[in-house]
Amino acid sequence: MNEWTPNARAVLEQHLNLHRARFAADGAEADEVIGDLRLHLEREAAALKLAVVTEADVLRILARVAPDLLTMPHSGSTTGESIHPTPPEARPGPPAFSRTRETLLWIFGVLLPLGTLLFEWTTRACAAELLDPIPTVLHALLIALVPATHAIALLWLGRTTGVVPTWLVWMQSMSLGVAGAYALIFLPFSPFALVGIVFLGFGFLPLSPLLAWICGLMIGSRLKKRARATQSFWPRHRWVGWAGAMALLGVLALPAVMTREWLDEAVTHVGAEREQAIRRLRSHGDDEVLLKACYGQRRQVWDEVFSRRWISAEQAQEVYFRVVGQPFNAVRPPLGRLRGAGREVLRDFEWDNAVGGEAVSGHVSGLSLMSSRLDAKGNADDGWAYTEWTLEFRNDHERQPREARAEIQLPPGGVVSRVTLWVNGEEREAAFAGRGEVRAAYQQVAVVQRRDPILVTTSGPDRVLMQCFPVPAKGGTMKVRLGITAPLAPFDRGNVAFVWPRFAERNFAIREDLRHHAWLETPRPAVGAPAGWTLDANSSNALHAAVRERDAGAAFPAIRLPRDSGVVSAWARDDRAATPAWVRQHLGPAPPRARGRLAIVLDGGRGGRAGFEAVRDALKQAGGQGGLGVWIAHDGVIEAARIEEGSFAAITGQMDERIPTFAGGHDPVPALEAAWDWAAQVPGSTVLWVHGPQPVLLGGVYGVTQRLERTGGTATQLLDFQAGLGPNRTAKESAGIAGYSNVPRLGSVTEDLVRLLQQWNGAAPHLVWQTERTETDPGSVVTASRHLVRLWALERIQQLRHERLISDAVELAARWQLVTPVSGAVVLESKAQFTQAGLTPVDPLTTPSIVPEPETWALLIFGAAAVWFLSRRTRSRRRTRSSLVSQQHSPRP
Amino acid sequence: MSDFFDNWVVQVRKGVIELCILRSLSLRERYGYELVRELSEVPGMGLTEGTLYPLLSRLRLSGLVITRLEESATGPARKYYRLTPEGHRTLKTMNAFLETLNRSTQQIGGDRE
Repeated sequence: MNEWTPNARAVLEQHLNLHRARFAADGAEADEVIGDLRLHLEREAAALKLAVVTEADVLRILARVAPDLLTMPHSGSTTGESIHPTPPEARPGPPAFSRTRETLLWIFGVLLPLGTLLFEWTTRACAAELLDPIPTVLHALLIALVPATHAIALLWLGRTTGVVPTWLVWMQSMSLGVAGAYALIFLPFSPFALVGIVFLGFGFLPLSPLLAWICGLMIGSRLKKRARATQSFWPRHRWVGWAGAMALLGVLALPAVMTREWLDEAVTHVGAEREQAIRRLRSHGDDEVLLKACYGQRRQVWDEVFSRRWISAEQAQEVYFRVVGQPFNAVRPPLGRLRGAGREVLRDFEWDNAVGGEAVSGHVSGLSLMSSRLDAKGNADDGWAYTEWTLEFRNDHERQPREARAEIQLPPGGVVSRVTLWVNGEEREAAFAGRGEVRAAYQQVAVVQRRDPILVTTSGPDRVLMQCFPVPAKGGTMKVRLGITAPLAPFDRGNVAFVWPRFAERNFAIREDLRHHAWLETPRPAVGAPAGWTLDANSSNALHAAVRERDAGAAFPAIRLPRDSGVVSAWARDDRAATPAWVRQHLGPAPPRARGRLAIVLDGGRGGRAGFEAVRDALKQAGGQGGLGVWIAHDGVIEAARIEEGSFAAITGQMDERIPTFAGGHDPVPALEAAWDWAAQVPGSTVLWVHGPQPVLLGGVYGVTQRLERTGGTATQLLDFQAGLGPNRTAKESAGIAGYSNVPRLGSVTEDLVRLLQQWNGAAPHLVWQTERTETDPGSVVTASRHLVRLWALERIQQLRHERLISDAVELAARWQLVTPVSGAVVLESKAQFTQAGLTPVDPLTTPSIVPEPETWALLIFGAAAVWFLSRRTRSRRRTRSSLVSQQHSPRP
Repeated sequence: MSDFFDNWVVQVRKGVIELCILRSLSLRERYGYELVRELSEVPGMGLTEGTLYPLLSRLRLSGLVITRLEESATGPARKYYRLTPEGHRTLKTMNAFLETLNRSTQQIGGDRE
């Protein structure tokens, strides 16, 4: 295309318009003829390939192709002489809008949609309450097209009189489609918006798409008139523009709609149909839509249109785990892919439905961990460790007080032996009592009175649930401390492992820059310092580090502590019993058991690959002979390998042929049942379950617990080996059943599996700490800490529980201030609350501490005083004796 | 040539030019520029753009042709003209009439000579 000078264009228009009357007189439509001639001459000019078309070029072309246009029309000129090419004004098209109408179009067609977009972008208010209008950047761009098109069209109509640009026509058509689609979506809210405008004076935002659509129609109509007047190109299939924009919005909404549909199917259907819906969700589902359903967020308009039924948050959480293979609360609550500065708006409407309950549930906004400090001490010779974890929570929510909840993974065999809460800057001790009593007291004080309590109860083997409420809104804080007594897991007679407690699940955020300040002191220095840790072997043998939560998996390793292999037992006094007694803890081999078959159950879900590969490697490294089977939980059961008798290493080839896809999360129970039924055919068999986090019970665990409880005669045991940190609902349901036990995690998955298999084979010693209590005074050997008595008490409580002597178990737990399956700990704010709940907080002098326990202090002081007194008396006697001797030997006067 | 003949030629052209347009469009649709190129090559037609486009506009207003605009990659948009069914019927009638007229005219002249 060539460029026309203004004069060239003016001359052309002048000649064409001079013949307007003649064209009309000939029975033609003058505007049309002029437009046709204009197009024709533009084509002629284009054919000449002129870079710039000047006035002279126009006259030359006219003289060649339409010489009659160079003469005055007969009706207007009698002479027919040539017209002088003076540049006249180009004929304007129809006028733009009136001033008032143009102002309204600017307000409702440009400013209102633009303002609505910016408001929603920054606040996400609509996304939180009604529906998410801008779930993707593309949605934002499409919405921005509406005010942009209207602004351009209004400016163009007001300032130009020429041909309507084709791109503007298409742009206007597309923006009409976008505004129309959103007007339809928001149509159900329009009546409420109108009521708001009439009675309250606001409510324009939900009407913004409808108003923008009306403005678009008006602007489009004016463009069409202008195009007709100027013979502009007006696309015949202009509907393609708006229909295409609407179709694009529909396509963008499709994943969310289909995800909802498949979610419906996954919840309502059973069997193959449900499995198919789960597979579709895994391959094509929108994880964010699932996550919103997990958090019980409101359904959106499209969901209402296409979905059939309400899905509870719990149902969605189960489906989420099946689809994604990780707990829903492992990620933050969804705010839409576009997150603005206005998260506060979303927070205002969040409600924590799990307050006071026994589930950690999802993250709540505003709540975070402000500081974390772990102080530990241990005695490798005696085989105990004590850790105090001090946690401070902060709630930045504007209005809602929050409950901080966390499931804490304790060291293997550990027990919470102290709980404190800071009230008005003062550290208060907990009351230890029956599980039901402390929970009732907590719910009364926390949920009803909304005062300051903390509750700690067990949550499965080696796990406790800590919950404290309320962390006050607007930056309020709450500080708590948990003391944990645990045995040091033996590697061999000369080495034990110290394990740090960790969060398995939590409902609060942890800032990226927050560090867990950890400090361990032991009589002997640790065997080397792990990466990132500092070992101060010169003075206090302190091992310390500041670890980020993100790195905690690798940066919180088990610490290897050396011990005197000659020390086999340690004695501690049980001075809280009615009659004096003593507890002995000694390191010895695990009780012998028959070695039957080994059935390994693996997780075919998202986190299962590491376990699969580790088992394969461990089978090769550990060796072993016998009956071995491998089952994989993967949308049912996969029997990966099985040998009735043979080398364990040989089975890995069979495993390689049955590698699953490792996607989603799967119900392990069918695989555990199949493995158990095969293993239990031979007495003394073991089912080893290697798995990742199990946040939901997908099909109930009765198939497992019933076998554990009813087939005890075969002495089949179930070893629960959790490869990654996280919740374990199956373990929670199976805890306390004889034959079920956890495998302590002391190193990498492969290392721990190799050690376990070697112990199972008899290739490596399997040492365990054993405790016994006697009322016979062992004499001067009583030197160990009361922590040994606490560990004995924990074991005794388990026995009493199995013997159904629950009140005795509770009494023992309360006496030794332990959180066990039958007991819990609660700190209330005031003495009156304790009295009202029938509870008594423990005496601070009876609680364990990182510094030597109070009674020990007293003993030390008493001992020091006695030594001082004795030495003073001895010196005095010596002085007296020497004085007497000197008097006897001196000459008499 | 005399003025008389020139005027007569103008009158004859005026009479047949619309027929020529309709005939040209009876084969396929054409755009204005193409139509001018074709008809201007017809000997004796002497058609210019200043004449053609008013005629096309009048034919459209009479319902004998319809138009459509189409974007062109090589220049300005093209306006295509196509005969309507009414246009086809009219062309058929005009052809028949012209044939009769021509035959009659020949007979008149031939008989006299």
